[in-house]
Amino acid sequence: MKKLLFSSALLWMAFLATSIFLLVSSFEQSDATFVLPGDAPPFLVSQLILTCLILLSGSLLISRLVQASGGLPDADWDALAAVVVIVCTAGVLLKPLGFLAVSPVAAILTARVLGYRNWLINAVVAVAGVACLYLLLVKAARLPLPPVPGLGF
Amino acid sequence: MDMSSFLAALSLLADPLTIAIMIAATFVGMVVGALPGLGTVTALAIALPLTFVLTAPQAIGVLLAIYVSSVFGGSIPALLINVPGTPQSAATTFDGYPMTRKGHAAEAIGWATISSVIGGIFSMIVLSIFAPRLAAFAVRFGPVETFALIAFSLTTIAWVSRGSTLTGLLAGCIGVFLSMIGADAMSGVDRYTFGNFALSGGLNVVPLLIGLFALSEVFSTAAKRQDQDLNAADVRSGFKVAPFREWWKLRATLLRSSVIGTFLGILPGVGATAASLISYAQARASSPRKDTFGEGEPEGLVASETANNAVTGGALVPSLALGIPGDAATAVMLGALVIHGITPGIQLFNRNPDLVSFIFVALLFANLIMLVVGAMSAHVFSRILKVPNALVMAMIVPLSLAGSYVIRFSMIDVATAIIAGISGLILRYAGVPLAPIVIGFILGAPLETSLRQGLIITNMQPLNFFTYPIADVFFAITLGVLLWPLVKMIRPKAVAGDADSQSKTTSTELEGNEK
Repeated sequence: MKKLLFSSALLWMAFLATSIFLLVSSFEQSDATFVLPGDAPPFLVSQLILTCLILLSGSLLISRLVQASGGLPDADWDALAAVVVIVCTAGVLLKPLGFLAVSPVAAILTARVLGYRNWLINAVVAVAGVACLYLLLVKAARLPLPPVPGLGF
Repeated sequence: MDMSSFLAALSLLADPLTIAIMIAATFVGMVVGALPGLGTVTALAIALPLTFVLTAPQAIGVLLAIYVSSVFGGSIPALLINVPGTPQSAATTFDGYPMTRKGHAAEAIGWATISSVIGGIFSMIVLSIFAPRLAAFAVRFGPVETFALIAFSLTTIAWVSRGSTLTGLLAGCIGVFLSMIGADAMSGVDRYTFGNFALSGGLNVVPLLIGLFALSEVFSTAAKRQDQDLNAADVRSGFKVAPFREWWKLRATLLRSSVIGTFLGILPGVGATAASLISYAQARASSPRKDTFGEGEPEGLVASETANNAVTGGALVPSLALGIPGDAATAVMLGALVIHGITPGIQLFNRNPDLVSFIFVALLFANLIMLVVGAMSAHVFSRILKVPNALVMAMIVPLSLAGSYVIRFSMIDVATAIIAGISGLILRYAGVPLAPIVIGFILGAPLETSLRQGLIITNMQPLNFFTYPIADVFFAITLGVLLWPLVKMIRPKAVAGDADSQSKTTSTELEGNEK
């Protein structure tokens, strides 16, 4: 049961539940939308697609349950979780702390988690790489990135 | 392509800045293609936001150069260390690596580079001949025919994608659904935004691409956590071209592989991996030296490399003529064209013939640059392969954050990229192919518009769709594709027997060469 729970059955269940929720909410929204006579309703195609998604994820769920196999794939979950946390934190802090403050730290920590042990080279590559990217986008291309508060760049 | 538009295209290409950035893009494309884990789509996804500051021709030139060179770049580690940089180069290892082991790495790179260029130029010629004709034919397409064509393309792409047909179809549906989030283009009604104003503008393709292909690759690398740094220390690369008479002996293989690659490129979803494997198997079957295949036979290397680069021009035929991408890479190219204000299809050919000619000329030029850059930088390939994978993956994080932010200067795009990255990893583990999601996303809007317009012109009678002959052809093929798994279930012995014998023959051939 535990193996089954952590197999892709869980994913198909999530897909099925999400698709049903979205379909129901689209019918509710659709009822509240005025459509001209002879016009195709705005939710028609998305409702068709959601119905397809329900059928497909239901079929995949049934086939997975029938096979009753699966389980968590062999992976380094700690490293994966660490990188996901780093990227998510960098995304959240990008606006309040600025691109130049957040990105090199995110790059250094990611390389460290991925197994690169030389701090010096890691830091040099991250800072130089982010600086080049900043110069290319902000100075050359004039595409603003979130600035570091109080410093203006 | 008339002379005036050809000359206009040449004048656009003659800009020194365009040439310089295409050369730089070719080198970057080769490097990214050569680094296992990254690939053509990742390279294009990361480069796409950087092209916003360029003019449309410059951006197209850069993306074409990256597209062409990253496919070739994947062959470099395949030749030098037996690890294909991209899946398209899997067949290149069969004879390329044995050549390197025999001490002929420079010859192997020479064979691979020139055959890639020949395949690329052949497909460019086919593109320039067939794309305008296909676009002219597509004038007959109304909303119903367009809907049937898009439905056919999505189904075919899902069918031939990695994994089962069901997961492929699911991925395509996810992509189409995601394209419908935001304000409806026809009525202005907000859909699936749940009161979030930032979502009213809809999701953008660039953060989706960055998340699905670049960030999910970083997550996937973390999950694998194995020593992926490649040991290329004892390999010395270079560039050496075989005498013309050796090439002349392989003219039939070059032609056949170019045709296979271009034709399979035109078909939606088949892609360069299948093209190079099929081309390799065909070359082996028809070669008088079939016993030497797998031991460093140049003909096998030429067959694989010619075919996988011939796919590039072929895949652009439906993309430019119909606006239907053949694979994820051309989906990115199509997205780039739209971002730069260019709508593919007959309008592009009628209203902007200079730009169409430029695309053809730029594709030819990209192949020629690839030859020069490939030859000049061949000696540094083994050093590039020694760059630690962790550092490369780590630099993708700031690139992804910046690339997704600069699209609309909105944090919603950064959030989209991160969510797409995590989702992409989960979907990879569940065996769901990612390419149909992107293609579904690109085709979602035209699919919806054509279906709704079709329903309006048929007075909301969907059965009237079957009164359109061209649409009927596409509907019939789509139905056949959808019913094929059922046919296999009903006739398991006959069909499976045929398929088994066929796959056994192919796999025996390929396994024999992988040793």
